Amino acid sequence: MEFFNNLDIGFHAALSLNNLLFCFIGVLVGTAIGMLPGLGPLATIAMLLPLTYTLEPVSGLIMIAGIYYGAQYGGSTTAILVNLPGESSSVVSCLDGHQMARRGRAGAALAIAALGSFFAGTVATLLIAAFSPVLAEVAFLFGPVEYFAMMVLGLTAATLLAHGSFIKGVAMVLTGLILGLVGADVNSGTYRFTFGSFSLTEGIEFVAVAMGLFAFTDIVANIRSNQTREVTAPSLRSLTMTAKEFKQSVFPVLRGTAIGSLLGLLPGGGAMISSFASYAVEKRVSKKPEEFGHGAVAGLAGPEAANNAGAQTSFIPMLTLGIPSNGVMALMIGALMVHNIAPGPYVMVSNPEIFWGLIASMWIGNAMLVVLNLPLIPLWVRLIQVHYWVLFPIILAVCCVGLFSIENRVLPIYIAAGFTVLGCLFWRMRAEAAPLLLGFILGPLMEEHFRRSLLLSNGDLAIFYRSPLSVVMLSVAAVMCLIIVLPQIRQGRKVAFEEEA
Amino acid sequence: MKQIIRALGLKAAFVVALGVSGGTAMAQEYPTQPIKFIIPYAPGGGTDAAAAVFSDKLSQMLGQPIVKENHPGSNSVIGTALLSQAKPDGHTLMVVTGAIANNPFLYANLPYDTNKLVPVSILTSYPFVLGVRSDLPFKDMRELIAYAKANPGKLTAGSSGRGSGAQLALGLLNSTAGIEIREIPFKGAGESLNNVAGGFVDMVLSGYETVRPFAEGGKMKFFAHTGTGEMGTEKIPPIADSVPGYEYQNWLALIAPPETPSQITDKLNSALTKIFAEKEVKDRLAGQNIQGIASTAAEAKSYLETEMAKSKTIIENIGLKPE
Repeated sequence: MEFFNNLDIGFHAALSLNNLLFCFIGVLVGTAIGMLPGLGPLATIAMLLPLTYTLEPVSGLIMIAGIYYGAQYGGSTTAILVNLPGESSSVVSCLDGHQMARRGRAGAALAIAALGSFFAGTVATLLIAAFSPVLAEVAFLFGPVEYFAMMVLGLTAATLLAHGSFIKGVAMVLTGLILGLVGADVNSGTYRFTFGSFSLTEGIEFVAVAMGLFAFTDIVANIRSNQTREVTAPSLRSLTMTAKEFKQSVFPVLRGTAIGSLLGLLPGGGAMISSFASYAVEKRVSKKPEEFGHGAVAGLAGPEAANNAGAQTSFIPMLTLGIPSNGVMALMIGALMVHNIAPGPYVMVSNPEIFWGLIASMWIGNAMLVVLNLPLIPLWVRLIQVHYWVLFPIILAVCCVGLFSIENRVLPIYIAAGFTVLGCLFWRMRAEAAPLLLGFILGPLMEEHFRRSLLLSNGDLAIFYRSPLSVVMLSVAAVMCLIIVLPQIRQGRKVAFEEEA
Repeated sequence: MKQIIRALGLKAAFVVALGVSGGTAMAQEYPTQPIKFIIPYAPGGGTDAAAAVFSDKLSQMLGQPIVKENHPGSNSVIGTALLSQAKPDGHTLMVVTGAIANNPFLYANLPYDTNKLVPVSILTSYPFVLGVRSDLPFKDMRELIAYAKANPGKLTAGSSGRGSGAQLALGLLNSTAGIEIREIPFKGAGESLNNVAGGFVDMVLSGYETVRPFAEGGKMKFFAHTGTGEMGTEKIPPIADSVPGYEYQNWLALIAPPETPSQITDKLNSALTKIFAEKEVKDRLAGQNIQGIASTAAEAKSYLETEMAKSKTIIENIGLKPE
């Protein structure tokens, strides 16, 4: 019964006119930026973060969440119609989705993607509602020691699972860690790396870092790329799918939902990994694997469901433990901390309307997305054709106003500019910036919990292996490191031996 | 959306006001333009809420809008520095906590001189409540002190970091009672409360409203408070009952820039006295066990001086040095 009581609290919060409006804004903006290739949800959320400071915490979170899963829907539309991934997690949808469009089934492809995503979103929302309280009970056992171990595990996993080079991932996390050290140290109150300036005592403004690294860098990167796009526009009439297409998509959607829900929980996981995994699974179980890449319905339906489920379940570790599994979740934690809400199991107890309101809004948002996406397709098609030279100046101006309004001063704008340069450098070096953001957020927290544990134990390191939970998490982190590092050492030695021979 | 539009609107109004403020306003006509309240803390905090209690009414009485601006950072130093540079015409004021009396002894290079600021009024004061986790083997303040004396350094208390009120109140308790309760710093009261409820830290000194939900949920017990007399419906006893002479009060003050003329502070004072005498305001504060004061400027000045002397002793006793 408690489950329904909780959902009641949630819907009560989510259905208020204000929150419905922000949910709508979130999914609308999410769909729009999901469609625009190059502008991802991370960049958009970074841009809108200052706005959430003036909102009620629950309204702000509802909007951010809406952008995140809205982008998953929008991304697939561009993928199907233009053969460009509007968003990184819809890379897979290009393969078969666009092929379907070229064979004149664009409408059906869009319908499959939207309905598959809606189904996955509904299931994932129920999963969050059902399992979060269970996890939160366990989380009550978490003190400074366990939090420290959890963050070690989270950071390790995020580094290892990030795509691209392992060494670059480690380097990015460490850079983030160092940047996070700037400001007053919580335990001793000492100032670090402030160079005697009072303006740095609170640390480097998190929003400025995120905006520089993601939003502004994306803009610079996109200006350089080709701007002409060919759109395979469908007519509204063609939105119905045939019975055969429906039957072909049922099982892939179910499997995709299961895969996405699971992978979303992992640190470093989320929408993108889920869609790739689902595509691989569908190809393997299919009776006609040769159809894949030529418009196979299963190759579209499975990944579409998976990326949406993954996007949603990645909220679970963030909401219950305060551990971000990806960059977007890190931004959500930032948004919570601004309102003096420390993410963790207590959020559910101390602010039930935030927790359950957010969950209820996800379902409402998913329903809105189906309505937004199908009948409004012709409108969205026009958006894809908007030129960047119109869009970018507007985005830049809005961002700068936002940065100024955080603390009513100009410094964050300069910091964002500096991080844009850094972000462009990273982009040229093909190093992913998301691990840096995780290091920036988790690093100082990890240190804080580490030193607090030692304060509690009077400096005795044994406190870390007296807690079974901490031992388990630290061991898992160590094993994960070994698994990744060992083959590289072996390879490295092989290379060395070959050179000797 | 409404909030955004309102926020932008206020900001726009403020910008316009800045542009017009060329001439010097006569004190008699004060205020001639919107008044800016600097809040030296992040938006949404306790000071915002406290300022909201009287700012609307004050604005009606003075006939000018009051615009709040949050300038958080460094235990209110950043906001205070801005105030000290503002024109002393009463159109820029600051609502600040007792931190302003502690900062001269915590920071070596303050960008302003605390003694030159003009305190307009001490607005409110409230004591901390001592919340203790419910599974400890003692049930009142006397037993707690006996336990702490028998086991020096065993008990722990959460604080909100260097120079925070909770740290000072704990330091004063340790020195007055002759005990040693170890301080565990956290980023804010919320986190330290959670750690007491979770059983990782033994107790916390925090505002009444913040401890109440945990006490009602059975995770913590109200042991005592840092003021005088019994408190609220729960009849929480003061720490002074078991540790004679102990008192620690948090307070909130309205401060004006250096050299603000007394005509202006007098006008503000008479308005504030009327507001704090209203039944609605009184009830609202009493519900949270906060005492409304609304002192005169002279009283505020001497209050600030006494508090600074007290803070100096406590901070030196804890062993903190200005850096």
